[in-house]
Parts: sequence; C-alpha cells; structure tokens
Amino acid sequence: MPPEACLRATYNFRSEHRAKPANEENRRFSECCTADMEKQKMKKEKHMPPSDYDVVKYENFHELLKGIYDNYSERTAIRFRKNGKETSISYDALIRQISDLYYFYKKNDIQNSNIGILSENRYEYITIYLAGVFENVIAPIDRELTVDGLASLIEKFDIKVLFYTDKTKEKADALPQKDTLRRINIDAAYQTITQEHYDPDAFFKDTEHTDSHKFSVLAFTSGTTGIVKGAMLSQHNIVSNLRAPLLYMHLESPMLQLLPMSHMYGFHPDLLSPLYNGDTVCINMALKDIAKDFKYYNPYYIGVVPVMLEGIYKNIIREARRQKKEKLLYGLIKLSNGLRKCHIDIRRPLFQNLINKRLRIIVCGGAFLDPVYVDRFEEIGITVLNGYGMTECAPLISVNRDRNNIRGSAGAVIEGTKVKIADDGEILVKGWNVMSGYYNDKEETELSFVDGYYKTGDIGYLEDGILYVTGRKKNLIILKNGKNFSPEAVEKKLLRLPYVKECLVMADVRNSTEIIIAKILLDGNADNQDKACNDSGAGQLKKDIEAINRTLPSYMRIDDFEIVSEEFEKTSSQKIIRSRYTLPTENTIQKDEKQKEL
Amino acid sequence: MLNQLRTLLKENYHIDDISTETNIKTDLGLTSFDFINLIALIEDTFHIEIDEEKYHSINTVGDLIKYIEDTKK
Repeated sequence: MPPEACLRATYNFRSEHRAKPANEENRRFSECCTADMEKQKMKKEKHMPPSDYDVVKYENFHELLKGIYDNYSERTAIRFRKNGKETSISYDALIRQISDLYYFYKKNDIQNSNIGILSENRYEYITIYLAGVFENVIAPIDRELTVDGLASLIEKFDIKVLFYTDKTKEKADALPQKDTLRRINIDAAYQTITQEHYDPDAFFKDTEHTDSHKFSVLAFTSGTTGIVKGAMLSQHNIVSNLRAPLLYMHLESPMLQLLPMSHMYGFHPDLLSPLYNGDTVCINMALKDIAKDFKYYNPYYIGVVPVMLEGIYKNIIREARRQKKEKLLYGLIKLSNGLRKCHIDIRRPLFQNLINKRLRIIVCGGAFLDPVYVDRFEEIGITVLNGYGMTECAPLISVNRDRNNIRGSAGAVIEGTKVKIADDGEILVKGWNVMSGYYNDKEETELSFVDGYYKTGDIGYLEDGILYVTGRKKNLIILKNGKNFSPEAVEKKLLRLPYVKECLVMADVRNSTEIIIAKILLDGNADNQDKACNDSGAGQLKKDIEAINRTLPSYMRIDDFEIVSEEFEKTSSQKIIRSRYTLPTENTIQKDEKQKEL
Repeated sequence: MLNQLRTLLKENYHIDDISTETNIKTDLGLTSFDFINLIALIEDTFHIEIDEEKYHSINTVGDLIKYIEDTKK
C-alpha cells in the first residue's frame, strides 16, 4: 500500500504540436455541436434545464486567463501553508508569474517541446502548467513511478524538459544522463526563472491567436492493463470541461484542493474549475494535514475519490467514539432525519463542528462510490455529488447537479458531450471533451473509437438523461447460458461487510460446471477474522454470502468463496489488476479441461 | 513506546493486538487513507514530523517505533 497511492493515477503523451484530431468526425462534431447538443439535451431532459447557473464561456487558456485577470485581479487565487507560514497569491500575481514563465520558455528556446512535471502538489505546478500550454505540451507525471518507469516514459513520449523538486530529485537524478533532456529543479530555480518581469498585456497579445484545438496537454493513463498511453488533449477539450461542473453546482470560496495535481481529476475540475470561477483554492500540501486544513481554511467544498470520502466519514465516527459521544451522534442523526421529514432542517447547528463550519459540497469521482455515503453525508448536511470521467475525456463526462442529485447515478451528461450506449452496453462518448487520440499510437487510437465515439470500456445505461455506470466491459462475466453481469455489482455487496477488505468475483469451471466464485481478503484485524470464519462453526462470512445471494438473481449468486491472505495487486490509482487473477470466461472451460487432463 | 502506540490504536481504531512485528499496512485492516490519518495522529501524539518520503520505509510497528525514537533524539 504505497502512501497516498489511493489518490494517484498514471498518465501520458503526443506527437504533433498542432494537433489535428485523429478523429475528424469528432472534431467536426466538437466545432458545431453547441446548438445540436442543447436541442438534444432539452429533448431528453424535459424536466431539467441544460444548466442551472450562468457561467461565462471561454474557448481556450488565453481567454480563460485574460478573463480571470480582467475580472478577479484583486481576489485571492491561491493559499497554501509551508513550514507553518501562509502564503496568499492574488489573481493578479498568478497571471504575472504565468506571464514571466511564458517568456522564460520563449527566451530559453523551450518551444514545441513536451514538458514533464514530476512534482508534489504545490503552487508552482499551476504556473508551470498554465505558462506551458501555449507553445509547448504539458505532461503531468505521477511521482510514484519507478525510475525505470520514468525513464521509459520520458523516452517513449519525447519529454524534452523535466521539472522536478527536492522531493522527486532522487528519481530525476537517477535517470540516464542525456543531452536531450533538460532538467529544472523547481526548488532551486523557480525564483531565478521568474525574476524577469513582463507585462501581462504583452503576454495576452502574444497568445491572442491561440488555436483552441492545439494539442496542449499529454495526459497519461495506464488503466488496469499496465501499458501507459498518452491522451492528447486540446485547450478546448480542457477549458470547456472546466466550465461544465460550474453549470451544475453552486460553488463558493474557498475550496480545499486535496487530490494529486498529476491526476487529471485533481488538476482540472478540482483546481482549475474553481479558478475559472474566480474562487480561492487552498492547497493541501500533505494529506496527513487534512484535518488541520479543514479547520484552518474552512472550505466550502472539496473534491475527493471514494476511499477518501469513506475515510473522512470513518474519522467522524472514530472521533465521536473517542470522545464517547458515538451514541449521542447517532441519536442526533436520527432526530434530525425525523425532523427533516417534517421539513425542519437543523443539520447545520447540529453537525457543523464534525468537519468544519462551512463545508457544503463534496464532489466525488475516480472510482465506484457506494451510494450509502451519499446518504450518510446528506444526514449531516453535506451534499455529495458523484461524477464520472476518464482521462481521455479531460476528464468529466457526467456529474450530479446540486439541484438534482440522484443517488447511485453518475449524474447528467455535461454540456457539449453526447453519450450513447452501444448494443453491448458500453458507454460511448463524443463531444467537446474527447481527446484527439493517443500519442504516437494510431492503432490504439483506432481501436478506441467507433463511429466517432470514444469507447470508454465501461458499461452502463441512460435513464432520462442521467447516466448510470454499472461496471467495466472487460470485467463482464459472460456465462454459457448467455446471461451476463458485472462482477462489481456483487463485489460492492461483499465490500459492505465490515470485515471484508478487498474482493474479486469471477467465473470458474469445476467438473465441467460453470460457477461463480469470490476471492476475499479479510480485514487484517484478528477479531474480524474470527468473526468471519469461526462463528458457530459455519462462519459469519458464509452466512453473509447466503444472505447476499438471496438478493441476487440466480446466475449472479456466489457458489463458492476463497479467503486470500495477500492484498490484490493494484495499479497506481489503487484499482485491482483483475486480469492477474481471472481468466476470460471462454478460457475457463479450457482451463477445466486441462486440469482434468493433469 | 509500544504501549503508547497500543493505546493510540485501541482508542482510535479499536485495535489492541499489536507487536513490533505487526505490519501496519497489511495487518491492521487500514486503507491507505487510514494509514495517512494514523501518521497525523502519531505526529500529534509524539510531537514529531514524519516526512512523507519516508512512508515507504515504515512498514512494521517496530519500524515506526525506531523512526519516532530516531526523530526525537
């Protein structure tokens, strides 16, 4: 379990700077879809307007930066604490530093280059990124990568400049020495490279003719296959995506930024969207300080992945237990729930000190979210809005609205994006947010599109314009009788058992009979293991699986289970690499036959 | 030190069966987020700063005790 690995994802790269989308149809769509999309959305979502809030529209980073400079110059853009000292950066200062860096790149012949950023979350990440997207391509790199992984990524994706920090220096220094790679230590050089000041008006003039469809960001994605691919994103992909969540939720300053900036979700909707809105972003410099930062910054909203959301809730309960107020807390929740039925809402005065006084909205994405947590937070007055996205889609595809939060769904499809469901249930996406293709990988790009739509690899369905994601297509268990289902649907039931830490559900064949088995890793706590396995001789786990089976159609029921002793192998974003443990369904028969032969 | 850690884990996570060999990351049923919270608790309790670059080298309760003792010296 690598530290903070739950929040990390790997990403990647590109080839031509003036990127012509590999998929022409997608580009044409992207250029003319506004009116079309609005009509379609209005048709489909009769009960929902296309947006709930008015948000100015920018097409590229030039327009965005000029807009926030003109409108919010005096406001605070960024706050962060380092060694106990707070720094506050205004929008004016932010734009000035971006402008200075833009000319640093120009004067030092850093143009038409892929610039990698290997860094922890910090203020400078923002300026390096935003100054670099105009004449270069920015490639955020997961700092959990091994030195070999990093070296191969730099080679494969033509990284010419690498920004690193004192914290990532060890890895940067261990890379093979090559003249083709220019390395810049942010801690050592940032002040120097921004010491020459330039007028932001000159910067805006020089970037005035920015091509919105220029390939500007190389976002790495390894998925669960382990092969790193580089999604090529244009400024229009990204900037239109930054606006999307603002149309559907009311956000106020400040927001607390927690997710890794190398993660598309952590940087785009989580950090750049608030800046688009003129809000203040407080940077959490280390996740261990999360509780202190909640109190110090008093944020109105945060963005998280499910494991963090669950962790925050568990912390609330743990703290109540530590103060011997657990029963009181549950009693107050019960009382408040009862009063809410009578339209009396006393959640704020009752629960405002559980996390902080202002927190109202948590946006959650990145993996499956158990809807139970939407209810648990709602009970204490905090709205959890679940969304769905992919690196290849910059990343947002759909998100719940604060005025129409639908538990268990991935929300409404965002403006400028069209989702359709293929015959086999796969979610297909096209629109403003979809990448032009994978960097230097025509084959993979062609495989990833069908009729102009990006194939997400997820399965789901649309109901009244609301998207529901049910599982990964490649995980689908297809039975010999033609029935099929997503193992995730069964796994999420198992994961609700308090003593189950991880699990995988898969098909297997025994004695020529197809069966469904569950591999389960129990919570390491010895008490839990005893409860699971030794209760009344038969084991609580067996009883609980029988209870789960009663809630499932017969073809989804777990026939047998196996308790494993080690954690399942995972990707850097903490998704289990399922292929390491399962065989495609068609192979299970062959495996059974081979076993018989032996 | 071991007893202090026992108290901390019992109070906060209802875990009371630990030894210096216990692996914090795999034997206690903690998620990666729980682990980071535990680090914050330890920092507050022992008045130390644990560098996040060192997380990977802290695996067992014994490793943690050694780290705390070395830092406090």
